[in-house]
Amino acid sequence: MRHLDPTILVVVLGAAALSFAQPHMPGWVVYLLQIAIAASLPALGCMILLRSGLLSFGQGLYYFIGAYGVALVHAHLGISDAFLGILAGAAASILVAGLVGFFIARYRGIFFAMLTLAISMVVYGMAVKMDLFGRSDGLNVPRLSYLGFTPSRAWAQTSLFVFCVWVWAVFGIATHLYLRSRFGKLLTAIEDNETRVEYLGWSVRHAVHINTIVAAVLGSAGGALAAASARYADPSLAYWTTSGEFVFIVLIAGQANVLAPLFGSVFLETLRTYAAAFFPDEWQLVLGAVMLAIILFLPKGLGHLFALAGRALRPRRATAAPIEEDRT
Amino acid sequence: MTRSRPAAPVLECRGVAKSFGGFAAANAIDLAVSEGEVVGVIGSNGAGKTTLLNIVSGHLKPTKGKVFFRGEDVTGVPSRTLARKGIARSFQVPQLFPTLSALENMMLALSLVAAPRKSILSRFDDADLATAARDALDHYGIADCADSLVSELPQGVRKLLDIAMATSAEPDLVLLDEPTSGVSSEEKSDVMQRLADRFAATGTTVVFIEHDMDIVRRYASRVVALTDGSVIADGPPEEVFAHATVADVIVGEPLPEGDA
Ligand SMILES: Nc1ncnc2c1ncn2[C@@H]1O[C@H](COP(=O)(O)OP(=O)(O)OP(=O)(O)O)[C@@H](O)[C@H]1O
Ligand SMILES: [Mg+2]
Repeated sequence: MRHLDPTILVVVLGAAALSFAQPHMPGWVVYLLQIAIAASLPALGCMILLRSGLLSFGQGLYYFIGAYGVALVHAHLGISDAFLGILAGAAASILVAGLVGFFIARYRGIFFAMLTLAISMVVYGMAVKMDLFGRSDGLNVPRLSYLGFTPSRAWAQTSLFVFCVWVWAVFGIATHLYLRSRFGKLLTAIEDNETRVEYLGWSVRHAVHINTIVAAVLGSAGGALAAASARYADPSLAYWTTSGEFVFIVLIAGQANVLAPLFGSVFLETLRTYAAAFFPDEWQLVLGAVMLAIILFLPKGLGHLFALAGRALRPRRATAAPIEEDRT
Repeated sequence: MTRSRPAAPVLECRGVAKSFGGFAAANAIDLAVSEGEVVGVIGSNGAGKTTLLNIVSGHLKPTKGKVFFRGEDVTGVPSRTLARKGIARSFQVPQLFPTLSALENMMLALSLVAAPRKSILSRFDDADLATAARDALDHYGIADCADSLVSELPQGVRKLLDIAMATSAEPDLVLLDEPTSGVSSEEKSDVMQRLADRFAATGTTVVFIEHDMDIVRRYASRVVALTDGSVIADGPPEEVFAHATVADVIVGEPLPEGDA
């Protein structure tokens, strides 16, 4: 019997539950979740690159492109459709990552990290000086319509939230299928032994190149959601600290499952909100301390708590058959 | 298959040389291997055996000379392309995926090169693929270790897994770098027998590097002896082992006086 993949089930049920719960949630929770959902997509991009051992400090570049996809099709073409905005950003990201990939796919380790960072900073440096991107002020983003449907003012917030949730669901499930495919296993194998991968007839460089493009699309989708939520796009999205946050999210959440960056992102946004409220001047200190605690006590990330809980809930089976160790 | 003219050798090296800095690891090596031959390559440590295999399998570009596979010039063609053309290779130090289980290693090998019938985007965790991988491991007698992580496997099993992965694609030419090193002495001939049976059944051409001269005598149909990057003897085993330098330098048992 083919049973349904638990991750897909959780994503679909979670998205449905959140969609129906939205009218009953306080406004700040809705906004916090939207921002967390948006940031978790580029973090998911970082996670799939990490499968091959590659750390990207430049996912902000695609966050920036995705956000400006929505802003620019409105500013220049008068289009305020959410789907077209996302598609525009995704297409631009595929183009940029496709070109950049020829250059960076051969690098590993610190060189890969530094190059991704440098490229995004070059774009940031140009964007703050260009009127096209609204210089350092950025551009405004309109209230979105959805395939010709323009929600009334009262429903705009609900529509956007539901849109964010389901965009995440689609990209989350697609990424899950991607990671559990043969290609997904190949990505893990690359970190283990590039020589063997080549001798199995695959080009490591092509695989890494493809993966950077997939990560870029995830980043741009997140950027589009972020711009739609904040109602503006500015060049700081490409700044290295933005990229650093995505790496931070993956580090605190772990990389066992596509849901991990989502939990990490919600955790980070919540922490930031409370820390900023209670320690307005030292909130970064609080963030650093939490990070340290997680690295020390949960080196596999917060997501590992779920694995531990899962193991605790089925102790009986351990004797009958060994429980599968997660090796992330 | 009908052949109007004599078929090109499966593998041909013409004047292949490789130097690292100023040091010549291979010197003008000429070698032609025909369909179905089982060639044993012998030589002392550092003689250039692995270097030769690295060049033939596309891991290294020769400094000089050319390599042909079935008459086609494949000099400098990368290993991934040669793997798809049918040249498989095992390693002196097994090249595996240490964080995956033995079964997953084999599944990956099968899904990438041997059985690309299914899309690369199809599910990895597939029952048919797992069964095929288990069978392949079983063929080399290592199915018991299927669920162990490679980093936990003994050296002998890693060696076999490396060979199993390399040969998963039913290649035309198999290059084996010391297939029995690290395998316990009781299991050596067993391993070699399995390999020989398998390749004889498919008529696969084999080039293997080996330090155990008993194994070479038993399984090679032809022996190539290397010293300091040059071929010093090439022919049937009895002939090569009767060569004075081979006996003295490589085998380490000088021929009796007057015999040479
Ligand atoms: N990448 C390299 N860079 C520099 N020198 C190398 C390199 N690879 C091999 N060599 C040198 O070339 C010579 C031949 O090495 P090779 O590995 O081919 O020997 P071998 O015949 O396989 O020896 P062994 O029986 O020990 O495996 C050695 O002296 C080695 O040090
Ligand atoms: Mg060697």
